[in-house]
Amino acid sequence: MTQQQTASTPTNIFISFLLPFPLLPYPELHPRFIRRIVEDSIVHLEKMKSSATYEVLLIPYGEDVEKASMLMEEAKRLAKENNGVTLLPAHVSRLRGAAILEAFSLSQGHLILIGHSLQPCDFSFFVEALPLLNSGVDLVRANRRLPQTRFRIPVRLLPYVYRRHRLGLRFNRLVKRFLPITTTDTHSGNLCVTRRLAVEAFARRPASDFLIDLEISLTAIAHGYKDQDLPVKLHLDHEKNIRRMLIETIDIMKGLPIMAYRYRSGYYGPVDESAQPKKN
Amino acid sequence: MKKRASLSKTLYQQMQAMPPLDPSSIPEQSLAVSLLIPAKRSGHALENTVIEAHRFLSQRYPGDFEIVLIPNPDPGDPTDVSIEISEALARRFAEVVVVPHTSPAGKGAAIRTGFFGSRGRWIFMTDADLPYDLEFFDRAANKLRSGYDFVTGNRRLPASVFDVPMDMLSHAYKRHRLGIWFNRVVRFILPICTIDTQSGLKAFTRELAVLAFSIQICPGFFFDLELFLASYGHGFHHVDIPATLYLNSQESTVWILRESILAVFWLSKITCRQWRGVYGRHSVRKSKILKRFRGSPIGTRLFLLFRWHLTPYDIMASRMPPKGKVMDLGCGHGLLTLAIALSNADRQVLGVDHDAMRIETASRAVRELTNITFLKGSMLAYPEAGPFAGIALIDCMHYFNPESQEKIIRDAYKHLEPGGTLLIREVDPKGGVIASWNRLYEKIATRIGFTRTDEKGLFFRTPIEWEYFIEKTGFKVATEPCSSALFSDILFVCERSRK
Repeated sequence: MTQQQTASTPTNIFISFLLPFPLLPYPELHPRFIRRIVEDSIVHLEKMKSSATYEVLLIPYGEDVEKASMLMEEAKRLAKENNGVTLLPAHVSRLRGAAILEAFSLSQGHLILIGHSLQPCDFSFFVEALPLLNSGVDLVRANRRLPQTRFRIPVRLLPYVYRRHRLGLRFNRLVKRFLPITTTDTHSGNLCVTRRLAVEAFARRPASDFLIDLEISLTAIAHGYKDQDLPVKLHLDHEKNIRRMLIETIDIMKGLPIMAYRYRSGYYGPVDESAQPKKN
Repeated sequence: MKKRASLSKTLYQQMQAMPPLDPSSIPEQSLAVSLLIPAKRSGHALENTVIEAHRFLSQRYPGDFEIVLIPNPDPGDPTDVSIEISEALARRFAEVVVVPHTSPAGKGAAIRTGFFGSRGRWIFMTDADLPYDLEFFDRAANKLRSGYDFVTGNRRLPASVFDVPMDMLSHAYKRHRLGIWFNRVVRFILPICTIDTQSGLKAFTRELAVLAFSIQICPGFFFDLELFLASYGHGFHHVDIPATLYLNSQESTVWILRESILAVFWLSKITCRQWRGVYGRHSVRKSKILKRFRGSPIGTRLFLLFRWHLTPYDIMASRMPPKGKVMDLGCGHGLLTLAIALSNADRQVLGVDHDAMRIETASRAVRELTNITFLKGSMLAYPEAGPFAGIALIDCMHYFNPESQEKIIRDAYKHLEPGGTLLIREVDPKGGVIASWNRLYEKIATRIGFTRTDEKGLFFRTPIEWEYFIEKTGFKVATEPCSSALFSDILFVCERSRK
């Protein structure tokens, strides 16, 4: 579907909300968080029913599917209670990117909303992003570093969130050094894309885990698609465990140089010089 | 230079002790609730706060509340319009009363002036820019109804939440750290055990307020310490509950340097008064509990000594309702049972354990106490019918298989009165190296027969599994770490629904 088509049919759009949720070995997720995200999404999506149809795709991923019975039980209950919610078969891998790719391949939406179950945001972010997607923007990212962004954090996590925020700023500086990225946050995990950008990004077999968000941004830049950041209200209730942080650090060390090389060699699409962000 | 002189003058003024007041000059209570809101340089935020608070209180206490606004601008500050805005709000809402405060400067003095103009049976306090969730007062009212006298919003409990904009994250974090350090100093010097004394969110009975404000001398920020000391010293029942803090502005009426000087001055002064017994002398001495086991074998006494110092029994006891029937299931030698019973004579405590020897030891230790009984019995069959105000299941659930665990929790729900408290303490099996050691200790203790169990094997669950499972039974659960550095125990404070 072209951008023109998407923009010209705003009254009959199909929205797919993809929500991958991790099973073990990730930090354990209380089932009420999945319920809260799904119920919040349904409340908002139902309000748009006159102008849009929707599907919510839940995709569990992780290595120990059998051990996560509480989460699976809750996800099944949510799918049973709500017509628009589908629980996809568990993806037996620890890779979030791979789970998103699989959910996307089964989705039908013109607009793809991707949520993050470990750092969920108010669904109002997606509601605000939809008009932008309908007016020609192909990628809307939730940006945790915009001044209007709010964090809702249990006090036990405040030190971790603060340190992770500082670490995130450093990571962003590193990304900007390697890649033509101008945004201050590529990795909030909550983003909205048009189907055409999703097809371009996912057709290139993106990174299977942490760096997938970055690859989607790079694909948008390479194709000269418009992107925009919006502030967000994040409800944080988990902190990454050491194992997860190690996996991500290895991902970054391996992935960033490869991505830089691929970008320069045109892997993510024709590099449109005019669309390149100007470096300060 | 002029500014410096003015600051020194303010500092000097805030070091002047207020004269104690005569309690007979306090008006009689004639309303259910008085909400005190001190206002300084917060005129426009005050308007929204009053509108919100008025809506909130009208729904809960229709025609039976007042909002006491206490504008206390600095003399000669033309930019502070708190008085004008307060008076406009009083004209708009019949329930709003304005009690201006002029001298001495300081939040403590302003609150005292406001209280002396109030008529509520319960006194609620919040800040003018409403940085807290008003829903706190619903939970506080439940606690006051169940017999507590003093309920404080604690910003450092694990379940407390910060709602903070990105650009204030650093400020929030640094303020939080500073608060923790200040609290450590306070707890080192004074007999205060709460980890947050300075939150602006409090609810207390008129009885406590009359006592505390009539002996208060600190006009500033540290009046909270006097409130806590008066409450502890006279045996009032205090409880901390989680609070949600909304940070919206970096502006604060607290200036670090000035407050540091004042902190040293007032901490010294309040400590001297505490030593002199001005705030009362009611206390529970921990050592008295261990002395009760003097006649027991040396092995038991050593075990109890370690156990007492490695387990925060006083914290667990403080989570129990202040009065009513309380049962400690799986009580062992009865350390928690004793802590619960001794910290409050209004509690009738029953300790139950299947180990006859431990029950005998415990019974010998409490011979002359009238509010405590020990019985030999099983956790799977209640030896006494409820309803209980509180039930404790400490360090014992992992000895039962999952089916029995479910039965025990369902039974606890049935035997608790509406709003009753269930305390469960369990090992966090994912707590890293400490958790591994904790599990190993349990395995050895059961294998050598030091801990006697009816079932074979140990059955641990992760904190989230426990929460999910307890919530399914109908409890509302708050989780907090509750152990020494050597163990990885988690305390689940579960409240039975009131229906």
